[in-house]
Amino acid sequence: MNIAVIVKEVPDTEARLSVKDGEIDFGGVGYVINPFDDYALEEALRIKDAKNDVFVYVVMVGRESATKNLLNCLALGADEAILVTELSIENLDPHAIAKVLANVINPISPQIIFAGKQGVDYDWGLTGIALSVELGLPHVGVVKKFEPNFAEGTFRAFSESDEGDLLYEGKLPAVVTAEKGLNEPRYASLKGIMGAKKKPLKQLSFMEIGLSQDTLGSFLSKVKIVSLSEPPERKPGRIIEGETIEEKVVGLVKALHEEAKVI
Amino acid sequence: MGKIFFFIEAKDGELKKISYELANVARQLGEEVCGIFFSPSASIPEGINGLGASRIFSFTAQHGIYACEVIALELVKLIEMEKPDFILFGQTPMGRDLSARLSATLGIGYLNDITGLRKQNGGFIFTKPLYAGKIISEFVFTSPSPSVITVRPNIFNADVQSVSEVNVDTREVNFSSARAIVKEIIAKPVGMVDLKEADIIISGGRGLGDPKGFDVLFDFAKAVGAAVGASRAVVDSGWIDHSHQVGQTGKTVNPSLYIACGISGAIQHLAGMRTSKCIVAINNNPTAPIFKIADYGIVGDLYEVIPLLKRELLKIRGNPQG
Repeated sequence: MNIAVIVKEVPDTEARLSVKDGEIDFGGVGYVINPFDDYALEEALRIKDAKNDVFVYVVMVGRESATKNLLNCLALGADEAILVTELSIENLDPHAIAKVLANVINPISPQIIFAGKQGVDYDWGLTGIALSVELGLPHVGVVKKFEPNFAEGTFRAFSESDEGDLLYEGKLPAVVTAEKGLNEPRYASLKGIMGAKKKPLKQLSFMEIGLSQDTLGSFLSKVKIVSLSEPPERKPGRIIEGETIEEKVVGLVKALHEEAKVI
Repeated sequence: MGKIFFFIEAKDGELKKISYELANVARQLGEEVCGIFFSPSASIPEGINGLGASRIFSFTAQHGIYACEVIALELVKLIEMEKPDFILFGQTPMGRDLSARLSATLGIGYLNDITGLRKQNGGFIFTKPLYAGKIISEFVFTSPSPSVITVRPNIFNADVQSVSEVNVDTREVNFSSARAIVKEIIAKPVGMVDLKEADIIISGGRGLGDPKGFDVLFDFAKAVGAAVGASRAVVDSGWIDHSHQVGQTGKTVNPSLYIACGISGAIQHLAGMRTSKCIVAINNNPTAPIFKIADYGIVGDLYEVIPLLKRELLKIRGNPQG
């Protein structure tokens, strides 16, 4: 049985970003696997640990330099990584990425496709859902607990909502997008790191997955950025002074009521 | 001028604030404003006239609570028939799910989590924070209408605009073909305020010193009607559920008042709460970076500060029993 995990690279969440000459300055910023995708991979690996016939593919549309992060996915326990590289990737929106991913995923015919619920870069939250539409499969998102039943070809999933947790029941195959808290991702073991280099890490171009330059034209983004800026700096505030904590708190509440007018 | 659809959400039979916000955004985008509503029970919420929409398309269902796939296909039919320019949703769990599936099914333009809009040359430019708010972008649609937009809660005005008569067009959807369906909602404890819609948030970090510290925050929150937030550090340590996390891998919030207790102020946390109207930091370390972006700070022991803060807040509201 195959499981596919969709991952992407994002700038390290601890990084400070700035805008220079109308573009985001990524100088010196490290790239990591999107944090929500870590939970997606871990969930696939847990299924692999519990069953003996599971093959886990990790699939990414990204830059050539992403092989380093993909190697780590293999070190964690994935069996094969597939990286689709394309120079014009910046011009692709999640709909287009989903079409590219569908071309890779279809021949694998996985029982489950895991992905993060959103990328912590543009926060679209769209790729996994669009992929499920492309593949003609159901999707469950923001999943914090997942229980597949392979014998029955069904699953149960718990998803976060404003009203409380939603209990989903569904049929496999399905696309499942992970919320933080789905599991606790593992670290790579020394053995895993040593073994990763022997595992297949394939790099494919758009042509090699059956997409022509013509079809690529129809993939161009339906939205366009017209400006980028840094958020306005907050005005410096003040420390509320006082002889005692009580005095400080009284001063704070007065300021909140009379100056800030928020209470 | 165009036709705008917006997705109405209600909770316990009452319209959510985001529904009014969407109605107001819809009126900025076009003249004919129509609501879409889904509820398994078919009951139209109280005060639906206050949304200013004279037509409402109401979907009901049997045999289940929610099935995105099925509802999205019904919306596709509606959109192909009615040809709106924009379909608006809240950036809420249901709004995110339905809007994304709808845009992918129709292959139409999608912009989510918008926090602003302005007119230019007869078109619209939309503001969307990127990297959890570290960068602010402006987008335009380059594809023909219709387009799908989700709107961040708590940003746009929620004014009521009443219409005397609402024409409700009720349609039934059939969930029997659904391959993923919500069977049950495991309700949250009563009295919990949603982080994304909260007016006051009190958040805790490592400085609490102990997971039990959140008891003090929950006590405060219950008394003043606030929601409880948390830093990534304490969520990763298992002190509190991830649903409380504020920041880049948690929620982006924008309350009137954000009270950060024992939170040092990592970049990924600040990104998630910096658009709060007023930020208060309580920390016993006077050099904590959080003080640089806070409007007001108290240097001191949060366990001394919070109970006093609760007392003083209730006092000023004329409710001194706390």
